[in-house]
Amino acid sequence: MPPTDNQGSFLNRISIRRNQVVYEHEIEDLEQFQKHVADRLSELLPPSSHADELAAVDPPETLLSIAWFRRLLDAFLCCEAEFKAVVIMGRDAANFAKSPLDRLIPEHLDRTVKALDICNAITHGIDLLLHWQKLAQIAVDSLQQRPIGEGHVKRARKALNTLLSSITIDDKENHHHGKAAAAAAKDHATIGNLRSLSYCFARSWSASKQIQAMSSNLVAPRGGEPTGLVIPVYLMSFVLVFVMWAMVAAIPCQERTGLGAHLQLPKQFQWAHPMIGLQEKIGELWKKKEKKGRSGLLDETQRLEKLGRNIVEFADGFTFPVEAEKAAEVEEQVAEMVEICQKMEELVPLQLQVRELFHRIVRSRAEALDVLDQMSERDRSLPIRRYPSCIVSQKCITFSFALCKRVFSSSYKTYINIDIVVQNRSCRLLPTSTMGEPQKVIFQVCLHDCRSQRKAMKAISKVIGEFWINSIEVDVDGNNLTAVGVFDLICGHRKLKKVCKKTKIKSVEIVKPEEPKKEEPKKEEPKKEEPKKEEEPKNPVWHYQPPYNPCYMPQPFYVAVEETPHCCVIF
Amino acid sequence: MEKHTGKSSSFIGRHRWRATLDSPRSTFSPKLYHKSTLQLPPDHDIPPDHDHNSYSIPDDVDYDQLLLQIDRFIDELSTAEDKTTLPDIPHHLDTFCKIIKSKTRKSTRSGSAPRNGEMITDQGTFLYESVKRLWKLKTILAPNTPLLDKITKLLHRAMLFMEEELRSLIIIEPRPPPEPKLKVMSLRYSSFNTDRSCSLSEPPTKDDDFPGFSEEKTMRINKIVTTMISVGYKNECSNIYSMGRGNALYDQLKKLDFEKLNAEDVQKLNWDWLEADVSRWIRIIKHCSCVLIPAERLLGEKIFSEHLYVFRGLFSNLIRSVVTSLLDYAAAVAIRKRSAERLFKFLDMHEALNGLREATNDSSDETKDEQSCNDLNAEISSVIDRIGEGVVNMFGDLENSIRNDVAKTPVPGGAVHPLTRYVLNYVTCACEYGDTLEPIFQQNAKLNQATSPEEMEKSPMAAQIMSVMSVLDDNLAVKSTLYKDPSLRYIFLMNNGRYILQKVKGSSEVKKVMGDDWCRRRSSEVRHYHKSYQRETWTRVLQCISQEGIQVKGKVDKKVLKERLKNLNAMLDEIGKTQSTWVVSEEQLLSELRASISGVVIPAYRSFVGRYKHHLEGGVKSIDKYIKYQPEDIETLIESLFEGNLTSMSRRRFYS
Repeated sequence: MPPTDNQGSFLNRISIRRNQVVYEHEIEDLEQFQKHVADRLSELLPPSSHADELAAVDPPETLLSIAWFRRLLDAFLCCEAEFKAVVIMGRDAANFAKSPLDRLIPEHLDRTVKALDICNAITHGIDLLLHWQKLAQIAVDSLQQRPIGEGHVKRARKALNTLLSSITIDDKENHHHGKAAAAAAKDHATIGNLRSLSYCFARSWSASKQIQAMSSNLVAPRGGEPTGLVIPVYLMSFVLVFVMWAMVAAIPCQERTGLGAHLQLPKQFQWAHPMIGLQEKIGELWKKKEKKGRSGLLDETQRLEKLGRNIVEFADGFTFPVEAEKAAEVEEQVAEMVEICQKMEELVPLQLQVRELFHRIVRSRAEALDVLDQMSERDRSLPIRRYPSCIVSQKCITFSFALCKRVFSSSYKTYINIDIVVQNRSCRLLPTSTMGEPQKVIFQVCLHDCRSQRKAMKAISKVIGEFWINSIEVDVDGNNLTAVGVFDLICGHRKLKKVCKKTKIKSVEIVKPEEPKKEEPKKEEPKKEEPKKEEEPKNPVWHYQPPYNPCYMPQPFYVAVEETPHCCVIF
Repeated sequence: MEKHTGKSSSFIGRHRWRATLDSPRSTFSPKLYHKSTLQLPPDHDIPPDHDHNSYSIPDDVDYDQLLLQIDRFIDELSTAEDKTTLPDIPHHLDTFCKIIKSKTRKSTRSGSAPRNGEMITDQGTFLYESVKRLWKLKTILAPNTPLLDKITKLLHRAMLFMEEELRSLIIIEPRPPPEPKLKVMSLRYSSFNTDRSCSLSEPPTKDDDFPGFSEEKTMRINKIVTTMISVGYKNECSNIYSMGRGNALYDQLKKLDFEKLNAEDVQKLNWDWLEADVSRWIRIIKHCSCVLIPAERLLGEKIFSEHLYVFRGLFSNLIRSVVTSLLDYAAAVAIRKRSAERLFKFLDMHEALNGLREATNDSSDETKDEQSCNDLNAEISSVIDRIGEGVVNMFGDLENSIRNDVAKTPVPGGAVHPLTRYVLNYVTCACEYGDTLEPIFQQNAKLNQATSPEEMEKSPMAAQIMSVMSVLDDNLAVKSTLYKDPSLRYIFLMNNGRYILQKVKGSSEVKKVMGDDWCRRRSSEVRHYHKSYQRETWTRVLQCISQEGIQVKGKVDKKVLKERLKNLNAMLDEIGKTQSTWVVSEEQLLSELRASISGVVIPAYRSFVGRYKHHLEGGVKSIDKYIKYQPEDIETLIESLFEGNLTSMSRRRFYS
């Protein structure tokens, strides 16, 4: 299937929208951003009524389950990406020097740094959860043996006892680990207290205090404040604090007393409602649970704890051979435990996601620092170049991206080319460095003779550099030039402009390697990634008319990118 | 049942402390006692044998014989067609069970007393062998026989025993240092003061014994592990391993004075303090990648020699948890505000992390867990990227700080500007890190499309250094305008140009980066400054002593001559006064300069004086009046130039 085949259907989806003023367009961007955040978060809300539940195609994940957290993190990563695209990048640093942003942005950055610590704590917490999962697995393995002998039961009981005591052990106790008597230390050793956990931070570190510190100076802006950028920054801070708060509540973490009280969400904003809803629900659960051990609110652990207790009770009263009734009962419980263990396998990707979050925050902070750095030496820097800002529209997830690049000064240049990478949530979260999605870019050109067409193809084929281009085609009228491959579209555009002055980027889409898509597009969430991590292509092919290559066959994709040409002022 | 559960949990909550104290056991009812075991370490989990006195094990049992008999029994069983009717349970099976029971009991009763596995060494092989037999029996025996129950019970008991044994072997209780606080202090103190090479060589000697497992001990662990995994106790086994080794690794890190700082603290601490901390971190990373990780891998491969596939997962998890916490720190450092002077620490970090990445990657294919290896690699790479970006930005920062260095007052005497020294030293050091820097720039240059083909030819790093140099040149050019006296301006430019040239030539790395062309261009520039200076200062002098205009119609115009000589004297006075305060610090340049001046001036003067001396009337007195300087005097004058003796003059006069 040659790439052009899809063009028609693809083009149909583009709704051309041209704004008259850049400013207007920006406002719209920001509003869109708020709306998207609200949408994403409300998807996480458990269905309020029974009818909803029936209507839902696939049952939504239980609140605070591992799967739910994975979705939450997905949503957060998306918000974060969009925030960066809409608010930070492609903007004159002078904006940030004005009040109140000069105060807000550094405050937000401070919060992100605090969030880093929480991410670390959560990572360690997940380690502990994995340890619990292993213990549960032992119990499951031995209880699944037939016939159940006393040996099996004892083995299971031992594992579960360790598990339960590890769950119920108090944070405080954990703290004084070093100082406690030798007996207590031994107790800990046998229970399986990974020392890495207690060495995670200084003893005085407290997750709840951290959350408190994050939210303490977070006061909702008053309604009258006009600047467009203020609200997104607040919004992002709130979402960040909320996500961290939820994770701390659910995953074992150091010192969490009084967590319930710390988060005050503003009621006047539309985007805050889903968060408030979630917060209320989690808060209720937290009140019930607060004093009991360190297990946290994670759905799986709670069930595990309960089941563990039941099975231990069964094991205590165990005599050989088992009564049929009891055996059936236990079998049921074991089956449930197996299910939980399977669900807990998801912890590994969750942990990876938390790490991804960590690295993302680090990266954003680094980028934001660049922008702020620029502020101080603005007088010497080159005029800022603005790159096309694209609106991506799609049925369910509307994604707004500013594809932008900035040149900081004559001497050193940094830009972040935002690439949209599709992450299929059903598959394992890929480490960021392994993906390099080919893109299909359609340039609107004006090439009416063979010579200029050839010139244009030559020009674009030179963009390759460390990237590669799979195919280049010009349609019959010479109005559209389609390039497929992994390459820098800004650079390609620049090269093409040398041939045809009127060149415009008409659309960008990600070409997915063909694979059966079972999930409906709704389930997929766009993610972005930096192109510099892209791996070297294995077979750089760049014929003008490429051989049939099923692997990178362009496929229409639900993300349509539309350009707003007025703000495209490359060179 | 449900209700009961709830109750018991709260009971545990209330009584846990008491239960762990172990004393009130007797006061508990049997039911409660079971509850209380819930909190106890597992060696209490083995039910106390009330009838242990009833066992009478014959002392003279030949173990080998016994095992043979059991084997025979197993064969019989497996060949028997009807599995429900057992052949008679032979007497020796009973003995066998009793022996195992007694052996395992001995150890459990010895409790927490340090028993370095001596129980297993003498009769160890017997236990391993018998466990194998038990396992066989368990798989062979028909279900729902009392014998099977007995066997599984026994197997579990043996496993518990082994687990304990393994625990005592693998988990090394950290010996608490006698004065932990003091030790930490002293270590930190030393790490502040000792130089880099010394502190680097320190840890390996200190921890030569890591991981501290003797060959024999490793073998024993290997035996236990192999047995446990073959009987399906893989999870217990791996739990103990990961816990023990994880803790051991953390102890090692602690020994190296690793103290995990919060990301928040890292942002707040001042750099001077953090710098020392980063040095320590680098040392730890190097130690990790050179010593700890390879040693750990070796140990693990020995222990799990029979079950390498189990080891893969365990090992990568183990390393991941250790490395992750080290990485967090680096990431936190990488997102601090950039400032140029931190470059070298960053480069060190970059190098160390590259080493670490290699160390985690460097394993034979069979012990590699692809997926988690990739994950870890991705993490390390991500941090390396952040640091790389930091490095690139630091060069930007350097350029900016050079640009922003606007001085109101010039350096006295046109000497080498401190900025020049700083930048050149910086660049020299940076070039010494060329191997590290080059890839960083290459990676980051992927984003920056080189704009001109000329830039494409050079490596990105060279381009960067060149641009730093050109920024420095621009800055110096601006600075030179602060000097009102053009001669001094040229001296200043010459001094700095020469300094830069010497520095670049002095280091082979920098020279390679800058290229010969650049050096040639620079030296011609310096020559140009030299010429310009000479023109500015000495042309006027030479004009005074030129023949032109003195002879009018074949006659010497004495008036003009006198005027000329007067001027000349004043000029030489002035030059002597001002230029002796100027500075040319570089010896060779100084002598070149002086030689070239005297080469031009003195012969001309000599001939001038020789020619017109007799035209001066009024005898010796008049001659002395007009010819103040003998050629020799001029030589001394020239020799006294550029000495930079400021003491005689107040400088301000020259610049105002």
